[in-house]
Amino acid sequence: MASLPRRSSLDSQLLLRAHLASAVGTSEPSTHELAVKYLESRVERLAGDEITVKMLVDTPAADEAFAWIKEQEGTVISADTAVNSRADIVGLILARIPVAALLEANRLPWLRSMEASRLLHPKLDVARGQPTRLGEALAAYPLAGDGVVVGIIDTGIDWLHDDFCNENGTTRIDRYVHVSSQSGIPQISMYTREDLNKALQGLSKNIPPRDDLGHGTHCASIAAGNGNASKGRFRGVAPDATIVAVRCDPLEDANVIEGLQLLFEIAGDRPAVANVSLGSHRGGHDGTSAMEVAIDRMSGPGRIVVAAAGNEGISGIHLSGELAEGSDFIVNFRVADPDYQYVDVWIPRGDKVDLYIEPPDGTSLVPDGTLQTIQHGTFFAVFVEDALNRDQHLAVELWDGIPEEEWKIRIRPQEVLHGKIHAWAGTNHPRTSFGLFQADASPDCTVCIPATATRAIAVGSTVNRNQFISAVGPQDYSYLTPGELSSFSSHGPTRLGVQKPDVVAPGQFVTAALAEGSFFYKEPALELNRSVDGSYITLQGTSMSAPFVTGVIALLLEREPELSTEEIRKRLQITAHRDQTTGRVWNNEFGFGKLDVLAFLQYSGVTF
Amino acid sequence: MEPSRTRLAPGLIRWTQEPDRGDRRLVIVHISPSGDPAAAVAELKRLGAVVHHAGPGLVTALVTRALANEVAEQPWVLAVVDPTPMFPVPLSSSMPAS
Repeated sequence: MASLPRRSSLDSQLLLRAHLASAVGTSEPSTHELAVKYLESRVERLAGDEITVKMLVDTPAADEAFAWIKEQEGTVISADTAVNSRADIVGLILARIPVAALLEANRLPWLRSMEASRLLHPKLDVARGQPTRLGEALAAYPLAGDGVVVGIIDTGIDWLHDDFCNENGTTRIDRYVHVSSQSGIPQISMYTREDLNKALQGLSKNIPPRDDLGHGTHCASIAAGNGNASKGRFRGVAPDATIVAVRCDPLEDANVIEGLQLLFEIAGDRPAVANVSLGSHRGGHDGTSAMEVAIDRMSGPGRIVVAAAGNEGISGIHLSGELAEGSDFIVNFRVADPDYQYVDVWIPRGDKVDLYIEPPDGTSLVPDGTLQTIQHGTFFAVFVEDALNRDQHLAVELWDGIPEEEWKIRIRPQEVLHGKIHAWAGTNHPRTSFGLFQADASPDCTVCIPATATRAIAVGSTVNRNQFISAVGPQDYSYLTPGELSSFSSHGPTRLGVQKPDVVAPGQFVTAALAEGSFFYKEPALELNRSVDGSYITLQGTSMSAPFVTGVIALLLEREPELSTEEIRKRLQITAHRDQTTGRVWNNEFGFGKLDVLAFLQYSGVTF
Repeated sequence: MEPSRTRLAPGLIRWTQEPDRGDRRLVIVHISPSGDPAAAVAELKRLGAVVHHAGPGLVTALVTRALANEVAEQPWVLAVVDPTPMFPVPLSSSMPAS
């Protein structure tokens, strides 16, 4: 007779822990003895009165989950964006809870699963191995990016980190540029290799903060870190490349454009590849925004830009539909952020429509381009013919909205020629830009700007491992399957149907340099991601997969410094790996397939 | 309903409607394809803008509300848009998206 599996929300480790804890102090000697022996033999993370757990919960019940944790005198360490959205999906809460609460947790109806950390064998460098064949490629072709400039346009760089220093302690950073437009006054500060070397020797202290977030440092390390702090274990893809780091402050497209131009000027006669692991959804997603125009015009032979495709694959920030005469098309959006949010609706030129904004009270207002305050918030809605792409654009901005209230945009077609509409929504904080269109959302067309630029190499993310070691022990994500597309990886194409992303690369998870003193360094929730010695951190995102490709392009530019974006894209397209997970390519998720560095360099005919 | 035809981006339409407090704002001016960036910079400076950056097809400059409207009316201008915030795109299941 087949045995039926026991249904439990707790993993086996937690179940055992819960039962043994309850057995301690009982009169049953064998159980007691076993329990004490077990507890004494376990590492600290499993012993003690509290335990760190990963809880997968039904997000509509997130408030119940938080209340339960509080009731048990536990502590919420962090909650992911899905939980904060309250959308009808499953979200992750990381928490410390008393061991005594484990058995009760197993009876909670909203708890899908609860996991503890597990003892695993370390697999820290997987991105270099089977997924991309980088290791094999470098064994066959001894390239390291020598003579190539790798530009990181981002939040800055921790230039004190050993991975950006030579063996003799001097810097590997050719220039550190701070592009700032704080208070509206544009300013550029530029620090040379000599300035940085003086600072490294303690002879100069006038270089501004290194990297407040830690994002730029991580990206730079993936593309071009030399792994000094880990004896080479976490070296980047092109460790001999020359680094130019541009800190954009604030992170706005105007500063990124300035940074790109400065990078290519600094590179001079040297080939250069820029990494832009930044994105936005404000704009037509059609190549006409300022960032896209700048990338398309600055790119050329030996001038390459790589961009992260975006992490909005399951964010619910895009919807599309077909207009039909005689039938209203409704764009429903929920208020996710009481501070601010926007909805941009793009309607093809030639289609004639009437538009109405319908707040939750059922009134109907026209987008007349004036600021209006009603009991549900203050909003501004204007209907314009976009001066850049000539399509029709309804822009709606909302301040002081009431969370979870639902607004409608009613589109009443009068004459339809084309009919395909798209809408993107967002807030000023990625953590609340989630589930804004709820059930109507579509994962397609979520590649962010500037990855939508014609000449940007747009990179999506795949799972390259599902376990890693952090300062608090092994981390297990066994529900992820290596080789699959990361669920968050944005899908193409662009609004006009241009094929993006181009390729996918390892982005879940990648261990790389941690900027000292940064948000990533200090944030308690990231304790599970930081390495034992505090020099590295493991992160996920297309922010991490893009610099991997940036590094690989630097390898190729070492031998062929005049390559254009078009030629590199063609080679990526031809050599990208296809398998059962990718299915037929090109497709919206994998682009032309998975990056295969060995095939890429072999095809390129690199010879020595 | 006819869309309004303006070279100002929606964010700047709203900004220019606000009372003029003499404050300035950074804008990105898209130059028409046949436009000359050097000539555009000179013209923007003549109009009173503080030019920050000039690159292929684009000039960034500090403008007042009145100047934003005036720049948008220049024949060599394709569009005047406000800078867009960009977000880093890392993601971690155990961290708040930054």
